[in-house]
Amino acid sequence: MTDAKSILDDIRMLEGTGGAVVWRSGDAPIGDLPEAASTAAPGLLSSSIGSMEQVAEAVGLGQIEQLWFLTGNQQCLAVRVDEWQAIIVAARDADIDRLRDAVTQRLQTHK
Amino acid sequence: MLASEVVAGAQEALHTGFDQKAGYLAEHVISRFPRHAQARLVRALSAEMAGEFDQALDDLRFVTSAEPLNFQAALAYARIFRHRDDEPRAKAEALRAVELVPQPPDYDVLETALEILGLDGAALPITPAVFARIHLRSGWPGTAIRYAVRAIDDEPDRVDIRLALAESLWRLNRLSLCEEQCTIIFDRANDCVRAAVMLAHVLAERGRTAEGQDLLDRAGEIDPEYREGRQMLAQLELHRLVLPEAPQIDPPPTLHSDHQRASDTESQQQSVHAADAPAATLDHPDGRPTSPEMAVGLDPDQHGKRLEKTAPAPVPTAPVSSTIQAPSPATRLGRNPDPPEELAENLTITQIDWARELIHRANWIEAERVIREISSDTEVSPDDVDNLLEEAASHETIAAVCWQLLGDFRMRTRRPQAATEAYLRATTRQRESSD
Repeated sequence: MTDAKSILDDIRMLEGTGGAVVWRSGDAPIGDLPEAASTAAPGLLSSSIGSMEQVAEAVGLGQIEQLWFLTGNQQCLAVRVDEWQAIIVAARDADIDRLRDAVTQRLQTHK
Repeated sequence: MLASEVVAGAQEALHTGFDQKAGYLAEHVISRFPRHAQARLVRALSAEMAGEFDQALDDLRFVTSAEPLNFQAALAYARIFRHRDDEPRAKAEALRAVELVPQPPDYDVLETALEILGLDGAALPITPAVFARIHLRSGWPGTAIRYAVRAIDDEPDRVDIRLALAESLWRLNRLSLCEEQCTIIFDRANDCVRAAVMLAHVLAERGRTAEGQDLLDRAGEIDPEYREGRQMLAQLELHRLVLPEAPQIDPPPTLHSDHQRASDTESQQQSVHAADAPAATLDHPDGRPTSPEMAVGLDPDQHGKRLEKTAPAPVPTAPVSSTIQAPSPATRLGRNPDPPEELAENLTITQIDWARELIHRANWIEAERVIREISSDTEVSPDDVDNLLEEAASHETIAAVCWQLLGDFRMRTRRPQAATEAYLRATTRQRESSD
């Protein structure tokens, strides 16, 4: 939990990050999503990503390393580095490539 | 006749120097109640007077486990340690005896303890343990808790202090915390009657009255008249426990039965003489006259010397009633006839049972705390956790938090799809609550 918290703090300090969720496989997620309507939002996002991963593996596509989706005014990126996973939420016009590199680097230092 | 009446006679015999007679009477009670703490104490003191320190220590260990607040046992320890030139332990036990002396004080105990400590009464240190006990006795358990916690910080192994803490918590109805302390006490004093009474009450309050009653019954093996149980439970307005009637035991066989059989008349005369004798042993401590048999058995003037002649061992030489069992070798050595773990094992309460009971009692804050602990305990079966959380989630007050915990738990057990469902329910519940 201490590691997840420190990663979360690091990611939240990245410029352009509106929210983040961090977890390690086999742990419950922790998150900071200021706009969330429910305290279950970090759990919902992480479990949905987890479900998608299971689907991808079940159909033989292998393990998902990154997932990205765009909404009307937000973009969301999920990154996996071995056992560690993170989701970042950013504004639609944020530089998502830069954020992806930074988040991946943070996760690699903890793997 | 009550066992306590025989023990009272034994204590009196001990007090007047008839340690063999005291030992014999103690054995009589122990033969019927092998774990009778007060009788074991008398036997210990009798053995101490006879210089049989190892046997005395065997019994004292049991007495201290059953009654950690027993100041006479503490003082006996102190005397034996002093005899063995173990001054530090002698002083520690003497100080403990002083701290445990009840009100009004037993001046004989105080005098001996102060002598061992080499202190004047005015120089005694007033420790947090003493303050805790004073506040508890004065009806201020909240303050007692503060002092007891400080005292435990200083001396974490002192069961008597922890007992004061547990009792303070119990009086404030902080039953979960009391239970935690009682569990620690049982780790160190697995025969502790006061802790058993408190825990029996806690179990009964959770609807597990049969378990509580069973625990109380086991405490009755040590204190068959439930003196401590009655005293403690009398403080409650209401409880679900039943304190059984005090069992009767056969009066101790007289030590001169052959002589009695030879001459009934002489025996009657002896009884009359005994009844007229000034010895306090003829009367019950509360002033009631004891039975003639008891009076004869306890009269040191009439029979103490005869005992030394005809019954050198503290085992009755006269025919023993068939209802009285001879003490087993283990009992005579002061060992528990039952496995020492037995009492503690019977206290096991699973956290899941506890959580269900708290939910049943609508103690939501405590229930949530326990459920959180369970859901993060990796040793509990996932199915059990799932079932508990789903059950708990059916209660409106804790529904949202339980669905959330279930989602977290399913993530930890790598079931993200099931977790999503739980998190969605948590979200729905939260939305309904805020609406």
